[in-house]
This record gives sequence, C-alpha cells and structure tokens, in this order.
Amino acid sequence: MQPGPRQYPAAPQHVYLFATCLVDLFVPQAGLDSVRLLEREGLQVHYPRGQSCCGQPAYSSGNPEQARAVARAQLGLFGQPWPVIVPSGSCAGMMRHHWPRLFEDDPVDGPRARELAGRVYELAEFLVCVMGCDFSAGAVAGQRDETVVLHTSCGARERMLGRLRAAAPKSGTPVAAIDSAIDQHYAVRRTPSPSPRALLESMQAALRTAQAQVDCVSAQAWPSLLAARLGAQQVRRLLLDTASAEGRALQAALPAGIEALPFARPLAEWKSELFDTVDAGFTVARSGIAATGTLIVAPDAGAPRTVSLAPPLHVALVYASTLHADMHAAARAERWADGMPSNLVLISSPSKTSDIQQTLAYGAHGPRWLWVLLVDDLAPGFKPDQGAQP
Amino acid sequence: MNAQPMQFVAPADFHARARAALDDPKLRQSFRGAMDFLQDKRRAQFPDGDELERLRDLGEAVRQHALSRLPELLVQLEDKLVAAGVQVHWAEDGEQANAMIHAIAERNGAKRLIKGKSMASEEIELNHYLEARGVSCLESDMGEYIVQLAGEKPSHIVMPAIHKTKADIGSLFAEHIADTPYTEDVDSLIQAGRRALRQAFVDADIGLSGVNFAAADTGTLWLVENEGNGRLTTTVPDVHIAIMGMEKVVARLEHIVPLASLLTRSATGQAITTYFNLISGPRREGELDGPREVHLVLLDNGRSQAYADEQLRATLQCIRCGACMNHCPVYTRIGGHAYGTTYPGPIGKIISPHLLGLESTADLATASSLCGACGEVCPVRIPIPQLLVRLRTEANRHPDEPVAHPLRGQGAKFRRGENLIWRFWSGAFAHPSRYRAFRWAATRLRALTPASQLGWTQHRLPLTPAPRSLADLLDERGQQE
Repeated sequence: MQPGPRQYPAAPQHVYLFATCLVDLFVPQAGLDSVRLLEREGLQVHYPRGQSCCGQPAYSSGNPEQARAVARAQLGLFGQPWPVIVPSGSCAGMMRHHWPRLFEDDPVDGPRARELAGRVYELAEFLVCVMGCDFSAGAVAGQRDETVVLHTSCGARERMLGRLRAAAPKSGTPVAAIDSAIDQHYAVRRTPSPSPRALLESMQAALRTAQAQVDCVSAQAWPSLLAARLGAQQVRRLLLDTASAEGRALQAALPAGIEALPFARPLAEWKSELFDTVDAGFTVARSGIAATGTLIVAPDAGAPRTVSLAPPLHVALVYASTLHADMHAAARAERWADGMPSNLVLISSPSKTSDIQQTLAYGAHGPRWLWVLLVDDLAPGFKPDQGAQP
Repeated sequence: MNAQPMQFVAPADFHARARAALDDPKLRQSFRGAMDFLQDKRRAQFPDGDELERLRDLGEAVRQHALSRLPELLVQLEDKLVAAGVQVHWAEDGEQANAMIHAIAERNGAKRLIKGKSMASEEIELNHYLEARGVSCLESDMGEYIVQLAGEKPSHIVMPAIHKTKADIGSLFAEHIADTPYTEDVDSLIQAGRRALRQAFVDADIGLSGVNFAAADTGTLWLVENEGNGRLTTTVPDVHIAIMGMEKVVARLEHIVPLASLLTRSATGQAITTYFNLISGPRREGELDGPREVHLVLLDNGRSQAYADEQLRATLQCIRCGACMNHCPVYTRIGGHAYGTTYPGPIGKIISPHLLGLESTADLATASSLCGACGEVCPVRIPIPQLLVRLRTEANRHPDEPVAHPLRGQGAKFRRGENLIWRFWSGAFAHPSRYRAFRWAATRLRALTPASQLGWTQHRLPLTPAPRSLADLLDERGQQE
C-alpha cells in the first residue's frame, strides 16, 4: 500500500462496519455509537456476523502466523465493494497498511488483502473526508466545544512526507542506471544553462546566509581592499602562497604591519608556531558551488591543507567564472571520477557547532571567520590571471 | 586527559532504564525540545515534497546498488586505496579492530590519540581498549568531548550531548578545564572547548576518525562535519586511522552527492555542512602537511548477519543521519541512554540485534507502536517498522526451529506458555463459530475476569468484557449483514 494523500470516493449508500474485537467484547457502546453516526449520514450499515479481529495483537507481538490466520478469516466477509469502516485507528492501520504485507507472497489472499485494504477507513476519517461531516464548534445544533482525544492511525506522518513515495528499484540495478538517475535528478532541478551572473548572485547569497563575509570585487581592486580589511582586523601574520600570482598580488598590496608568510617547511617543523601565531590564511579556491555557497579547495604544495584550517581567519578567493550550479555539476565538470587529489575540501561556512543545547556558535575548531572574495571575471575578454598582476 | 570510565550498561535492562527516563522531567524536556527543533529544521530543508521523495528514491537506489555489489566494491576500494598508499585492514569484530588500531599505535610509539567523531569506534569501545593499554584517547567533537568529560556515552548519534543543558556543560567545563569560570554563554563555552583542545591537536601522535561514505571508483573517504575537528584530526597528526562499517562503500564518488545532501538535510536540517573532507590518500610527494600514514579499518562486527538475509539487509542502507530518532515518539520520550546500545532509537533497534545478538536486545524492537514515522523520514527508505516486526518474530521463534538465516539469539523471547496462548487465540478468533462461543463465554463469565492482567494493568484499568457483546446488541436491533 503506497501511503500518500488518499483519494477519497464519493459518498456511498452502503458501508460495512468492522467493529474490532475490542469494541465487540469490551466497549460495544462505541460500536453502537459508530453505527448511529454512520446512519445519521443516511448510510446503510452492514455488520457481517463472522468478524472477530484484525490480527494486530499477534502481529505486533511478533507472531505473524497467528495474525495471518485470524486476518485471513476476515477477508471473505466483505464481499460487496463498499467501504469498511473501523472505529479504531490502529486496527484500521493494521488492515490498511499491514495486511498487504502480511499476505505479500500469497497468490490467493494477497490480492484479496490488497483490495480490501484499499477500502478500509478509520471512522472519523470516513466521516470527515468521505461524508464531508463538519464537527467544528457550532456546526451541529446545540453542540459546544468539546475536548476530544485524537487517536491517529498508525503511520500518521504519511501525509506530511509520503506524498510521492515511489516504488524502490530492485537491487542489482546496473550502475549506468544509477548514474543516469542521478544525472536526471539534478538536470530537472537545475535552470538550463544558468547565466554566470545568476550563479554569482546565488553564491553570494548562500555564503552570506552561512555567516561568511562576501565581497564581489574586480580583479584589479581586490588586493587593496583585502589589505585594508586585514589591517582593520589587526592581522599580523598572514599565510599565503607567495609563488602564486594571487599571493604575489596580495603581498604587494599589504601594509607594513602585516607579514606575508609562505608555507615553506613541513608542518611538523612549525606546528605550534602555525597554531599559535598565524592570524589568517589565504587560499585561492579551485572553484565554487553556487547553490550552497561552497568553496572547492584543493590543497597543494604552495597552499597546504592547514592554511584554510588552523588560523582563526580564512580568506578565500574564487573566480566567478569557476562557479558551478550545484555539486553534481561540479563533480561532472571537474571530472572527479578521473582522479582525486590526496585531499579535496568543500567549505561552506566558518567553523561552527550546535552541540551545546542546539545553539549555533562559530569558531569551534576551524576558522571562526570566513571571508570570500568573489572576483568578477565575467566581463568579456577578461582572463582570470590578468587580475593577479600587481 | 581523564579516561572515560568503563561504564557498560546492559541493553537487557531496557525496561528499567526506560521507566527511569520517563520519570525524569528534565531529561524529557531536553529531548522534547531538541527533537522538535530538529524536526522543524529538517522540514524547512525539504520545502519541495517532490524533490524530497525523488531524492529518497535516489538514496535508496544508490545504497541498494552498493549493497548488491558489496563484496566487489570493498575489494575495489581496497585496491584503489592501497595504490594511493593507504593501508587497509579488515576486522571481523570489535576485538580485532581494537587490536589492529593498538598495533598501529605501538608501531608508531604513539601515546596520544585524538579522535574525530566515529560511532564505529564507540561500537567497539575503542577508548576503553586503548586507555587500558596506555594510549590516551581524546574526543575532539564538541559533543563527544562533553560526554567524555562527563564519563557518559553519546545519547544521539549526530548530537552526542543533546541530553545536556548549557548549565550542565557550564559546570562540567568549570570543573575540568583550567581557568574556565562557570558560564551558560554558549559562545564562551565553545571557545573554552576550543582552547582546551587546540594544543591536543598539536600534540597528538595519531588522529582517528570515522567515515561517512567511501567511493570505490576513486578510493575516496568522504567525511562530513561542521566544526573542523575532523579536518584537524585527519590532517595534523602524522598518522590517520579511519574506521568504517563495511557497508558504507558505494560504487562511484558521484553517487555520494545525493547521499551527502540527504544526510545533512535529514540530520541537522542543513543544506550542506561546513566541511566535506574528501581524503584519497596520505601526503603526497612535495606536500607539506597531511598524514604520512593513512589506515582504513573495515569493520564487520555482525553486519554480515544482516547482509545474509534479503529483508534484513536493508538495515545496512543506513547513512546514520539520525532522522529516525528525531521523529520517534519513543526516543523523544526516553532519550538515547535508555537503550543501552551504541546506536539508540529506531535504527538502533534494528541494527543492535546484529551487533550484540537478540539475547540482550530483543526488548528493543518491542519499544515501538509501529507508528511508522521512522520509515517515513528515512532518507534511504529503510522499512524500519517491517524490520521491527521481523525481529520480534525472530525473538519469538522457537530457538531450535531451523531457518535459512538464523539470527544470533533466535528465540530469546520464546515462551512456551505465551506461544500456546497465541495458538489458542488464533484458533478461536479465526473461526466464526469458535469466536461466537468464546464471546458467549467471555460476556457471561465476565465476573471472573481477573483484576490483574499482567502488563496491561500496570498503567491501565483491567479489561472487563461487556455484559452483552456488540454482536448481540446489533442482532437485537436487526442490523443487516
């Protein structure tokens, strides 16, 4: 039985009552009341005498054989295609959802159980959704507000989430089918050939939401802007790759008070110094993911892994022309499957945690601040490396 | 660092612990608030129901495909990793995994191990094992660090300290971290934690982490986190050991893209976490940081029992997001510790019998009304309610009944008397004439109904048959059939 918003039929003339063993034996008045409620709606209520129990007690205690025997005895009692009304949520749930599973492999009773399950209704569900009854205050003459207990059917969250639950592919699917399913999933939800400008805006928005500081700057302007920012932040030691064009451009723009520090030695030789004295690390991201505001950083010899990790401030530069719409597009365009660096890091915000009473706090172990320079290299004829000339 | 005290709890005492948890208003308030919060966060991440359902289809398809080819994918993963310079170890159980990790520590003369978050390491009680052998283990995930300081176990697989209030943590930090006055300011507490752990990253000889996903085609370990402690753990020490349940491999790196999206959105309601850390090998020639030695421990520890059975295999689709806990009416009320297992909540109920055997875990599967919420939020569509019913059946089966794939502890709840009662019940209720006779007797002899009815009357009034059954009353009324 596929959960999901149920399609309700038009109001019928006849219904069956499946009263359940609990009602039959212990609270028959509830059964009589159910009959009265249904008859009040002009329905002819049929009560097949052979009925006993849906089988739930045995089923939920882990005795499926006994549950099946009892459930099977009910299958033939409801021969007309009329709705079967059950004044108990969990029994209705048992019949509607678990009977089809109970008889899944049974070629004879399986179809009967599925057919019957399809027309099982919990009493209140039936009255409201099929008969259109209105039980709100004042809708019934002389009725006052009442406090009632709502006993929802097992699987009550189905409506919220199960709307489009689709059948599961069987195992043993060829890998190509999985690949194309993934491709298709992302293709459908992606704007066809998004404009670079739109990607740039999406990237900015996502990063800002993630509490990163974002500046969209020209290739000429960023070194001096960043130098001024770093000065204002009182950065003294800045880790950067002095061999890269961007590193040199930034180094040239730095004021006297800021030391440009290359990563010149293996980490083990200056671990404590890096952890204790370096205020900021500067990296150039390989690319970005616009949907989530993600920087794709591939550490290398000039800008190793810890540059974006150990100092409390991480400054990342990313060129607008390198932005991908989403992670799937990035993985495809960059051909991740063809070979990965020893470490590839996807960074989407400053370090954060909600581990104390679900309260968001920044700077847990990684950088507390993330600044992103989105270099707008989208103007026609512009080449990213031109921006790096000091 | 102070060692985590040996504090095993027997999952078999589930009932008593659940009772105690229900009587603890503070605990119930903590969990209720946290679970409501996480439910809202998740809901906000999936405004498009169509996208959610299709993504769940994808997640299920990817995981089922991977499981259908698990043996060959593990071999492919191993080949790729070994080619990149990673050492791959296979561990049948926790004891073997612990011994391997200890051997790596000994070979490196390592005394200090820093840990990123790893539920697999919790499962094998690695901290206890290593501490007993002179290797200190320090948890660096903030939540894990907090429960370690408190001498406790995680109460949630994604948010280990979710049962603690900021006041609890303020006291804990004031007591254990030098120069830290009591505060309830979360920002200050996090900074205190950061200060306390920072030097430990520098000093650690080994970093040990879990693994969220592994890709067989590229030989990549995919780690998901927010804090950066995972990156520090896998980057700064000279040796990195990753431990992973063997079911976590998928065929292709690109298959992880939808899984990672499902994971972060389902777990904490984030579109993406701060860091996805993709590790495909140790430090390469010319690189100046990153571990020189990387190990991967592939852990079975009962997973192959679930794998053997077609229905139970779905248990291994799990990506450990914890959404089933966050939406479970039972977990929400009793919290994670009551279960007494590494993995609590719905996923814990279906995985623990394979890890620990049904003898000590058979009660867990009964702690569910089969409401189905867990199955409906599961991002990879594990049919958790059906698996709960299946485990109840296995626990009730006669211990000696021959079956195709017997579970450890089959028949743990088998009681001859109870079995007879169900047979009698089924015999009476499956035949209209017998049921009529039973009904006649039950209503006429209602005065003989016992006032005490086992578990039923513990919290409810006794069930007493009515003087006349509904069938009688409707007969009298002339109700049509």
